[in-house]
Amino acid sequence: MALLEIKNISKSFQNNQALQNVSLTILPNKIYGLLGPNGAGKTTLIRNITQIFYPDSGEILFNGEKLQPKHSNQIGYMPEERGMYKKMKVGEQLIYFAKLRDFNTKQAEEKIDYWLQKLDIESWRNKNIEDLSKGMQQKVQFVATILHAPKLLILDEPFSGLDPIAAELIKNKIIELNQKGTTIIFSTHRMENIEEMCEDIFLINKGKIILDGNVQQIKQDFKQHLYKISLAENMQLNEKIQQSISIQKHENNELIIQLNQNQKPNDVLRILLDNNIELNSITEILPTVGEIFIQKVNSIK
Amino acid sequence: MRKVWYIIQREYLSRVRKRSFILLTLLLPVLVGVFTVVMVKIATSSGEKLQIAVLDESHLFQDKFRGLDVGETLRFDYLLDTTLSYEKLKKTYAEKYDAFLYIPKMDVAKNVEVTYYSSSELGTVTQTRIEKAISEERRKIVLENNKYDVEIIDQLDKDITLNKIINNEKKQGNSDISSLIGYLCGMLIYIFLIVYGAMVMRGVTEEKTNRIIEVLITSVKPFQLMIGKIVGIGAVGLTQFILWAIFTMIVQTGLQLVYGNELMALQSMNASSQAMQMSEAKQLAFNLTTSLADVDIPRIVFSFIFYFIFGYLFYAAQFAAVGAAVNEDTDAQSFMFPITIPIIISIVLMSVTIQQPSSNTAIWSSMVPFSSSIIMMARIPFHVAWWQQILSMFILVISSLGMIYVAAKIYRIGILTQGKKITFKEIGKWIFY
Repeated sequence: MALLEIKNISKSFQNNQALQNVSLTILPNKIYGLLGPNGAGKTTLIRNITQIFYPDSGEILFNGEKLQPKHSNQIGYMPEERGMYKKMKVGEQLIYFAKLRDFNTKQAEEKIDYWLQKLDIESWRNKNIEDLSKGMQQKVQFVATILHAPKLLILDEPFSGLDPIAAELIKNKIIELNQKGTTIIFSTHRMENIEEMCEDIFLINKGKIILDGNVQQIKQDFKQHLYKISLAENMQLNEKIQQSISIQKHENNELIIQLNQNQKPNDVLRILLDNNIELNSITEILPTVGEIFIQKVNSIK
Repeated sequence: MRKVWYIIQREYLSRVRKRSFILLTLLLPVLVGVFTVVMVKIATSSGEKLQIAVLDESHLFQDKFRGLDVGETLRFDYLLDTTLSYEKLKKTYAEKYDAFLYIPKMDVAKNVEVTYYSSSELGTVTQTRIEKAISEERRKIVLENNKYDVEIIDQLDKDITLNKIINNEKKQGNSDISSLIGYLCGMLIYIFLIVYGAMVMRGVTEEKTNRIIEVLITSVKPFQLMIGKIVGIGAVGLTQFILWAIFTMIVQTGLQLVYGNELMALQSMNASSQAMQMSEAKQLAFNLTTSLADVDIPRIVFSFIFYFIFGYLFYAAQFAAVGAAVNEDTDAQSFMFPITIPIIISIVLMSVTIQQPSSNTAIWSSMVPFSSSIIMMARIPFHVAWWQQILSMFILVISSLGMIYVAAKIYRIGILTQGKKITFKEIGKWIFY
C-alpha cells in the first residue's frame, strides 16, 4: 500500500495557480527525488504534505487515511531555509522540538544523545546556534528533523552549505534511515545527488507533474542511442566509415556516435572491426537526470 | 495544552535567562539607589566637619542655632563675646572654625542681611537650615513686637481641611497622593504595553523570517504558538515588575538605614525649597500619611495586576498579528503605527483624567478597551465607583478575547505568507478567510 497518495490536488494563491491537479504515489521504503525549476511548485507541494497548507481541491492520503494533523508526528520536514532559534543552545533547542513532538524529557535526551554522537557533534550541545557555522547548523537541523523517527522524511536541499565530508555523512545517514524503513522525499537542484540516491523522481513544472517514474527507466526512455567508443590510438577515420556511422564527436582517441534507427551497437562494432580499427572500450551514454530535466522543461516552454 | 505550556516555558526562560534581562532587572533599582545616594551626597556635600561660629551682635538669635547641629558634621558655636570683629575672629579662631556667620544689629522688621564668611562653598542643606532658623525667629520677634498673638497667626497659616464624602464614605487628605499613584500606575502600564508588545512582535517576526515556523507548524497549531508566545512574554514582564518592586524596596530600605539622617535632611530641604514653612511642611507630611492610609491599597494592587494582564493581552494580540503579517522589521513600523496611536492617546488622556477623574472624557476612556487599562488605572486611586470598574473590566476581558480571536486569524495566515508585500486590505481578507 502506498505510504502517501496525492490525488488531484490543486492550490492557488491569489492569481497564481501553484499546483494544478497534481497526483503522486509514494511507496514505502523508497527514496524519491522532487525536481523542478525555481517557482515550479515544489515547496507548495511539500507544504501541502506537511499540512502547512491545505489543498483547495483534491485529497492526500497517508497510509490509506485522509491526511490529518495527527499524522504530522510521522512526518519529518527540513525546510530549505533553516529554522532554528539563534540564541538557543543546541541541546535545549532539540529538547524543545522533541517535546513539541510529544516526547518526554528523558526520551528526548536519549534520542538527542544518540544522534549527536552519530553525527559527531556532541561537543556543540551547549553552544548557541548563532555561534555555529551554516553547515554546522544544518547538521543540528537534520537531527531536529529526524529525532522523532518519522516514517516519511521530506528534505529540502539537505546538502546546501555542507562541506563534502559533512555532506557524505548526512547522505549516509539518509541512506541508513531509508534502509531501516524510512521513506524519503528530497528536493534538490543537485543532480548528482539525485542520480546517486533516488530510485524514483518527480519532475514538476508550472504546478504540474511533467515526468515521474523510475530513474533508470526514464533514462532509457530519454536515451538518444549515443555510445562512447575509445580507440586504441588516435587516428583519422576514413570516409567510408564516416558515412556509415553518425559520428557526433571525435576528439583524440574518443568517438561519440549515435546509432541510426536500424543500427545495433554490434553493427557499429562490425564496421569498425572490418576496417581494422582497434578498440579499447565501448559504453552506452545515457542522459543524465540534469539533461532530461533541461530537455523536458524547455520542451514545455 | 501541554504543548502551549512548553512554548510558554521556552518563551519565558529564553528571555529571563538573557544577560540583558538580568542586568536590567538588577541594574534599575541599583541605579535608582545610586541616584538617591548621589543626590544626598551632593545636597549634604559640605563635606567633612563644618564648624561655624555665629556672631550675633543683637543677641536676638541666641539659642536658635542649637537645634541645627547635625552630629559631628555640622556644628554651630554661638559666640557670646560680640565685641570681636571679623578680622580679629579670623586670627583668633582660624584654626577652630571653618566659617563665620555674621548677624549684624538690625531692624528685623525690615531687610535682614546675614553674612557667611568661609573659604569654601556652603552646602544647600546647611544654607536652608540657617535661613530657616533665622527667618522663623525673625517672624516671631516681629509678630511679638507688634503685639500679635503668634499662636493665632500660626493657626491662620495652616491650610484649611477639605473633607470629602464620597458615596457616604469620608475621605480625608488631598488629591496629591491619588494623582501620584494614578500617574505612576498608568505610566507603568503604558511602558509595559509598548515594551513587551514590541517584544511579542519581534519574537513572531523572528520565527517567521527564520522559517522556524515551518518546522514548528508540523507539530503545533498556529494558535498554540501565538498564545504561548503572548503568555510567555507577558510572564517575563510581570516577573520584571515584581523583581523591580522587590529590589527597589530592598535598596530603599537599605539606604534608609545607612543614610537615614541625610535623607531626612534632603526631604526637609525639598520642602523648604518650595518656599514652605516648617508648619506647612509638617502639614503636608501629615496629609500625605493620612491620605496614604486612606488609599485603598489592596484594590489598587488588584486592579493594577488585572489591567496589566488584560491590557497586555489586548495589545499583545495586535502586536502578534502585525509580527506575523510583516516580512521584515522595517515593514513593521508602518503597521505598528495604528496600534501605538491609541496607546499614546491614552497617555495624553491620562493627564486630563488625573486633573478631572470624574469627567465624561475620563469615564468614557476608562471604558473603551483601547485606553481603559491606562485610564482606569489612573482613576482608581480617586475612588471610582465599583460598577464603573467592573463594567470596564468586563469590556476589557471580552475585547481581549475578541482581539486574540481576530489576531489568531491574521497570525495563522500571515505567519506562513512569505515574500509578499502585505496591505491592510489583504489582512482584512485574512480575518474573514
